[in-house]
Amino acid sequence: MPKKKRSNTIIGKYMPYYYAGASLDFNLIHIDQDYAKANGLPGIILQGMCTMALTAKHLIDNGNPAQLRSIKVRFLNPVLPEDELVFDSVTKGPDVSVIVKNQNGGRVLKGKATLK
Amino acid sequence: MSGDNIIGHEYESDYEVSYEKIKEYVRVLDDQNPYYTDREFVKSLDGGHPFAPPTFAAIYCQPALENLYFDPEFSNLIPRLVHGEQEYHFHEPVRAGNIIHTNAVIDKNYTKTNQAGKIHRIFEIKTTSSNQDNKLVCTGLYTLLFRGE
Repeated sequence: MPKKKRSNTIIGKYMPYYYAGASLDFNLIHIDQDYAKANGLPGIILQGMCTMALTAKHLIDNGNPAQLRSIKVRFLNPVLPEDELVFDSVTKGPDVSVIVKNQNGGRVLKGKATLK
Repeated sequence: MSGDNIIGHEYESDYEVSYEKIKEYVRVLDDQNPYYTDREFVKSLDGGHPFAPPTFAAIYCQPALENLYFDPEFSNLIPRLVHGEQEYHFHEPVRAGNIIHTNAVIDKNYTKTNQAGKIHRIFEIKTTSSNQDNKLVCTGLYTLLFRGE
């Protein structure tokens, strides 16, 4: 029987800065509004790796992290500060599929994972 | 165009995983999993040090990737570069105190036309990370997309 799980996360206004500090990903598209706009983006965007990390958090759900054997994601649309993300996953045996949407219903990430 | 001669370029780094850095990372994610943050809880499980979240791979791979971003063949592509896809396979869990060696190699470079007719250039980078006991901890595939005008 497939198991479904949903969780929500609000992306803080300053999260791209905090994630940049923690990850050392200081690509200017994440921290400089003018630079991001000059390069065709609506404004600064969240690091894809941060959205992926939040997805892994949703999957592991306070359990043993070693249960996550693999994860593969595609970044579909930029995540912006103050977005509200909804994580939906479906688990069938070891295989998990996951979709992350923003508050407008736009898909920002889709992925697959294996759990043991 | 820059980036043409970059296939096969390799970059290496060593990264020492600290408990403090793990705590800093999970604080950003508001992740309160005791496997990462509760030293006593983890000690009671197997006597070992706290775990790093699996996606902490992004952190210990970053120094090797930074060497790629500063490669003169590549650095001028950065402003229009976005992360398209990411894949990780996890092996031996990473714990505080581990020293992780990462090798990153530029594996593929090709173009793709999207639905709007824009031509994107794709770079695939493979990472292989091992711990101080030479045990494989993670392999990764980074797909970076150079956005067409």
